[in-house]
Amino acid sequence: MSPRIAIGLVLGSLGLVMGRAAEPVTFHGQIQPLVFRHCAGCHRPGGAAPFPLLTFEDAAKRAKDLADVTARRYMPPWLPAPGPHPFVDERRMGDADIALFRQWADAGAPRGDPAAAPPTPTWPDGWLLGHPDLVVRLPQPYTVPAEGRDVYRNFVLPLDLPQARHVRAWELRPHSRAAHHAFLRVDTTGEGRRLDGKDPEPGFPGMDVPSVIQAPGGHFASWQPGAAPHQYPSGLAWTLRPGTDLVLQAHLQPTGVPEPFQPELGLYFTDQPPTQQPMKLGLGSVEIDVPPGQSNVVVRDEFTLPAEVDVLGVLPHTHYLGRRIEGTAIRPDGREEPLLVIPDWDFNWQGAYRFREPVRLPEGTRLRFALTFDNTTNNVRNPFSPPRRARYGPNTTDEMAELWVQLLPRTPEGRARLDRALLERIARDTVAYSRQRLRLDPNDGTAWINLGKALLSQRRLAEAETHFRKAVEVALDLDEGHYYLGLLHRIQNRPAEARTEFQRAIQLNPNHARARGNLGFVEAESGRLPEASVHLAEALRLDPKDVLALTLLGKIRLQQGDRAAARDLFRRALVLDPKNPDALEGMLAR
Amino acid sequence: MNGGGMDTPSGRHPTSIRIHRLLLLCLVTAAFWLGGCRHGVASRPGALSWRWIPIDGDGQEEVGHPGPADRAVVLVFLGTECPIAQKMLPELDRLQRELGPQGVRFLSIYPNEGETREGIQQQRRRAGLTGEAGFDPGQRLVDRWKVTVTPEVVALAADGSLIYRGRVNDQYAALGKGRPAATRHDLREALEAFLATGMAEGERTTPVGCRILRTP
Ligand code: HEC
Repeated sequence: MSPRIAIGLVLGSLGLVMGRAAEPVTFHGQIQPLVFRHCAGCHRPGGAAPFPLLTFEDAAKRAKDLADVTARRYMPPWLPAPGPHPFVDERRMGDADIALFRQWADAGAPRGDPAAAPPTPTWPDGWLLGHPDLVVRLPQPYTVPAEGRDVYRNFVLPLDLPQARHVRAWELRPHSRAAHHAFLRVDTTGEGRRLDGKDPEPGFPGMDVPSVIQAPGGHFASWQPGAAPHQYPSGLAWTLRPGTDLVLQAHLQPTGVPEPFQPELGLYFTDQPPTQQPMKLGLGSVEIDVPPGQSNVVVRDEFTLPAEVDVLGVLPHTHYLGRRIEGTAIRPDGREEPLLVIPDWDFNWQGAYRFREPVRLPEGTRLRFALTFDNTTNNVRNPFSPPRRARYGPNTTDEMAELWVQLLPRTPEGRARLDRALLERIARDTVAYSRQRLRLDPNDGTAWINLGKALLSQRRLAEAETHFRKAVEVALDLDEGHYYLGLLHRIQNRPAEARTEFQRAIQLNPNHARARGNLGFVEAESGRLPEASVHLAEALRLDPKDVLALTLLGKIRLQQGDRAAARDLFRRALVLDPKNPDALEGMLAR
Repeated sequence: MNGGGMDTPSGRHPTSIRIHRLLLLCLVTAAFWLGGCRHGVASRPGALSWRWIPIDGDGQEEVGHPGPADRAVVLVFLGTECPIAQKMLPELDRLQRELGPQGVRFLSIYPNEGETREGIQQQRRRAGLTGEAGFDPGQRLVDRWKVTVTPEVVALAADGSLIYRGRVNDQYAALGKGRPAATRHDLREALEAFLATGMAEGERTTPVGCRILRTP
């Protein structure tokens, strides 16, 4: 390049820069396009935000607030810092664009040339992906009180599906400004309905739901205001079987007026059954103890991948004292890569993050999690002033430290290895978690059961029994406690006691399918076939997919000489488990 | 001056100690300062009035004055679109119910550009708010009292002297940055202290909320 041309270019760009600086920032010129792109998705009529930001009138009267909230990066709400692995639907605005909001406000929010206005975007009136294949609405509205602490409530959405469906997308329309965050859960046991019946209001309370109410296979299924509908890549749909209820676990925040909450959920189905199921790794700790006045208490955890995986997404969780969250991948060659960094956590904008491209990590990669708590008065979100000691617990004034990582193993062998490693962690975490819960509340029956289950899985039967006994002692209405005592007695070959416990569980919860099935087994083993078949049939009515009950009832029918009924049961078992040896043998029986 | 605060056993009432000391200070200085015991603001006897458009009226401007039973008037600046302002409504309602009968008059003022009567009435109905509300035509009350955000309160004694101004409580530190619940109830404490002592202390806190909406 000749020097003259170079000088000319420099001068030219200088002129450009100066020309731009001289030209004031106007609404129609620079601000409106930004507002359409970064704000209007929520700030529009019917959107998640409290006021629209579409027109000059909407924006100019609050120009200084717009400059402030964007400069503080409170709006658009987006917690993660930029990193090497971008997320789906990132709502991050660049520094230069943020500066424009400030310049516009400082210049007195000039309108500019209306002829230069960009076209106003349009949004579909209702569902963003078009009309869903199935819309479920909470049958009765729940009213969030006008004030008070955040409400955690679980709402049962009965589906009554006649056949299994595969969900490829879903959208939640909360129809309420109180909705701050939600998880979608599936319940194949009817447990949610039972808990829902305990008080007259819709739903049942609590951040902790029974473990039978689960996230759909390997997914986070997390929602937050303004979130785009969830769409799953092909092969990663999740399946809803007949008899399944959905449970919406909602985090609701009082808004100053009583807010009715009656959400609608739109489900989109596909004929393509899932080909793979992601797995979830929980990094975190329940050993949290943050003294008042400390701003730098770090909780850590780590996991080494036993197989090559694709990381699909992450879900962080902490409460009001958690400030900085870091999830890092350390590859076997030592290279460190941030997966997620949240410099200034905001409990009100929690949610899951999905990577735009899955992050492939080789076997031997270490996943490291670090979360910093700030329990000083500098943390303006501190629930207590003066600060108080904070420990682990499920209430929002207690603390938590978690980072969930969604993984897709690359091979079946890798999946098996990962499965084993995760099971070990879950057993470890369950014990630590239950111990913490019992420290907080020695009458927490579910925690006693979970400890008992962990002991049971290690075949420490006598200790397990003590724990299950404790559970039914502190929580008299706990059907699960009796169920596990029954199970334990079956393993111990004490049929009479097992029978009593299963009957007790059924008395407390007539829909306890597993208790029914096990009672059928005990009766069959004691040679009481008519009683056994009654219980097994009932177990199958409650849970038609119980392969064990299908094969046992099939065998009983064979013995009773009802070959047709038996073959039908074996056939059903083989549909669910094509290699089931009992069912195969039963089909061949003459 | 009302010495009602003296009846409160010290220690039980959060402000009783402070009131005690203040009273002492007043007594000591009374000999030198016959103008009474006022802190921070000059007293403007009889100066308090407000010009506004009551929301339930016929749309005409009216001038309001404290009535004979009004010991204090609280100008509460609100906006229907500001989430923080809405979150304060239950506390404001409670204060009105508790302190109204003791002579504290609450005026909800909606100064923002773009507010409508329907929008305001709908929000107040949902919040179960009773009490007086009105528009601030030309944002004159905003200018006169140098109000910056909603929610912001200016609590005045009937004679116009400042009791307190600023935030309702300490729940929020900035837009979108708050605790699950307030730990200090500044407006309540100031009003209770005033009712107990009759002294307008002129305390101030920095209000947090959405700026007054006004096209530059
Ligand atoms: C994902 C949805 C979403 C997007 C995108 C979004 N907002 Fe918001 N905004 C909200 C919600 C929800 C609130 C109410 C927060 C509350 O209730 O505390 C809000 C509140 C505000 C407020 C009032 C502050 C407060 O908390 O009272 C301002 C100002 C604002 N937004 C500006 C913007 C601007 C400017 C943009 C774009 C640069 C933007 N928002 C983008 C959802 C959004």
